[in-house]
Amino acid sequence: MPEIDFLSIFQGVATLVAAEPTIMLARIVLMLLGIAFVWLGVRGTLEPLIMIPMGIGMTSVNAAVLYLSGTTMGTIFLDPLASETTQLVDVLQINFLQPIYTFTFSNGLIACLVFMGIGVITDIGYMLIAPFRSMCIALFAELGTLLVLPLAVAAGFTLKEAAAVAMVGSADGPMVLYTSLILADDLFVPITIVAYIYLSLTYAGYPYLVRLLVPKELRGIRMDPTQIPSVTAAEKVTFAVIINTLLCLLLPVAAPLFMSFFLGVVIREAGPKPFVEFIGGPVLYGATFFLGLLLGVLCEAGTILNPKVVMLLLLGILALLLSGIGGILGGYVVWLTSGRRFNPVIGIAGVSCVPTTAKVAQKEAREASKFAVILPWAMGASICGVITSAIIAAIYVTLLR
Amino acid sequence: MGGAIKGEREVAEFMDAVRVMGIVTGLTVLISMLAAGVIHVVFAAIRRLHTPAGGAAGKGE
Repeated sequence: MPEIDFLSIFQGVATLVAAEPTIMLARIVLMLLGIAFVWLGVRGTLEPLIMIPMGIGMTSVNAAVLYLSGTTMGTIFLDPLASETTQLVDVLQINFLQPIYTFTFSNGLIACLVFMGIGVITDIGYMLIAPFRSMCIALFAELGTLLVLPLAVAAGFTLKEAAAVAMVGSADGPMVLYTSLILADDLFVPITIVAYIYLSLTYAGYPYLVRLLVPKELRGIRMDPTQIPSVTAAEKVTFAVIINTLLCLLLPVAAPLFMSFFLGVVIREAGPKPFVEFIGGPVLYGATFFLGLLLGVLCEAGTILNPKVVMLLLLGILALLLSGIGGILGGYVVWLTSGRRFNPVIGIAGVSCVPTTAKVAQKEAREASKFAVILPWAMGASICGVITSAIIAAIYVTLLR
Repeated sequence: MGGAIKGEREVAEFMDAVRVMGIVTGLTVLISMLAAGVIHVVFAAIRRLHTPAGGAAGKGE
């Protein structure tokens, strides 16, 4: 009977034992973290649509390290660094997730597909209730996206990396992915992962911020429902087409994002029902699923051991915190300028993240007064938040690329 | 000496970042308000077209 080397059969274990202690430890931690993400996603503590595929991907990729040739270790999931043509053709035939990564991830297509899906589920009519007030709130809610830029530079990041990190404050996953792919391709994995983990936590964390900064009597301010104009589908399509054209004209670098979002809006209002169902269902959920899975698979020990990751974690949470505070500040400004009849809680919805922050605002208002209905205004601020985030992303990319 | 040069370079980079932040803030406010203005004007114009003479134009701001 031939001598059997069990470690050569169970290569995941063999590579774990043979790796440097830091890599071995990082792999074990990431496997456990992946399991924790799945568990928290299943429980609903974190966003299950992202966290379940991300957790499974993270656990699998860190467990399934094998010897590719001789002493070279790697996986057969994907190679994010393959860029030279021959090498790329080779890995496309070996790594099973490489086609999805190469053809949808590295060019930003997946972010655009998610944006198109968000457009299909967004009623742009809410923006028309009070466009200037909504836009004003959304601008205040970009406080973190702006202030974290110099802070990140002071923390040792380059200007491009700092802009990508600061985009976490926009609380918009596809936007963070798009910006970091262009401005900081070597850090886009940790930046996007940090962004998605924190975005999952906004639903849990922002209510405390609202309660801390807005007293109960102001949280319960009732809005006047007669202010809500009835907007026809034709009017919404007109707005979408005009605003899309204007924004593409001003900021061509973010045109894929603008076009995807407003195309979704137009399809929702005017498109045939099968298109609406296709983009709002398979396209949106398919793109979200693969986004989560690929982010998880990109979480290899080597990537996460980058010393900048700890700083990214701190700056990411700071950006979201500042944006939340800015949004509420914007809510107060509109409250003051509107004769104190505007519910300042709506400010938190300016931190885009459609529709999570709008739901947070409505929930907090309802808890303060069961007759307070602010969701339409909150959705308006939230949609404006998406637009201001895309504008900032476009300006960062145009200035710094 | 080396430390002082490094310190000066870091201050210069930080000031660069502050300048970029200022430019981005200004441009974002400008473009966002332009978008809001276009929305407001177009909405009012559409309402005026569809409202019988003497009727109220769009509500809102």
